[in-house]
Amino acid sequence: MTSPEGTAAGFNPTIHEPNRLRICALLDGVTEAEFGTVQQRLGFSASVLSKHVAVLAEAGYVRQRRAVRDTRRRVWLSLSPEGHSAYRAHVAALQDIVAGGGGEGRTDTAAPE
Amino acid sequence: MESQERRPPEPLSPTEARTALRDAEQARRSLDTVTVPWWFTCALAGYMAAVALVQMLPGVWGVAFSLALVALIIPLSRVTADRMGFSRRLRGADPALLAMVGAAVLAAMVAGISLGQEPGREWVWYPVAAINTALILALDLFYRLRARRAAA
Repeated sequence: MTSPEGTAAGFNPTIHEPNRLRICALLDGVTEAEFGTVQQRLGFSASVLSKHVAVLAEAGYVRQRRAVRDTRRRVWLSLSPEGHSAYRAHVAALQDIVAGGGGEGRTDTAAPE
Repeated sequence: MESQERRPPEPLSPTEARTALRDAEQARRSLDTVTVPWWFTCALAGYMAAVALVQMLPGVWGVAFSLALVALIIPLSRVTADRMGFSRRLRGADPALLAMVGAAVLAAMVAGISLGQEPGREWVWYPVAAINTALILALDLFYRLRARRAAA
């Protein structure tokens, strides 16, 4: 079933961005992960990770917790319940596409001829 | 005059979806190669041995030390998660495996309580401590081997 915009139920354009999809995938497997750990494991620069985390946080999918250890401020990231639901629904939508459930829409538009 | 016709979004192909799923799975598994620090394993094994050995202490001391040990497990876990940089979510067979180990430790403790009540038989807590320690080390070995397989 597709919406008028061509996206499947569960398909989430915010999460589907490749870097954000990887962030959500990693966070889905943990209760919490430190910013530096996510950055190291996924090979992102701090600025790139910050940008994508900000997008996910604004969407309500990622929570950030600030803590201090050894006088350093650290940020711990976790998926919110909405984030877990959205990510798993998006994965299910992708699996449906792979299984031949029909092509689902990307949000970018093709140039007119 | 430029046409502003907006085409419907292009469909995501199964290949693209498969690639996205593969990338997500790789990201999810990126932490599978990380194991707990060796000092955590040593601390936990020592902790489990101490839980058994303090039962040999007389009266209120045994109870006091037992409660103190119970209280220690939470900060130990928090420090470990802090050092590792993440707290793993239990998935798959993990809950069942941990429940089995927990049940084995409990069984050893119950056996120790049953057998060690009689005067002169406090020595049973030594093998109970050894069993508890062995269970923790075996669990740690299992997870390290799994991490090694994930890294291969």
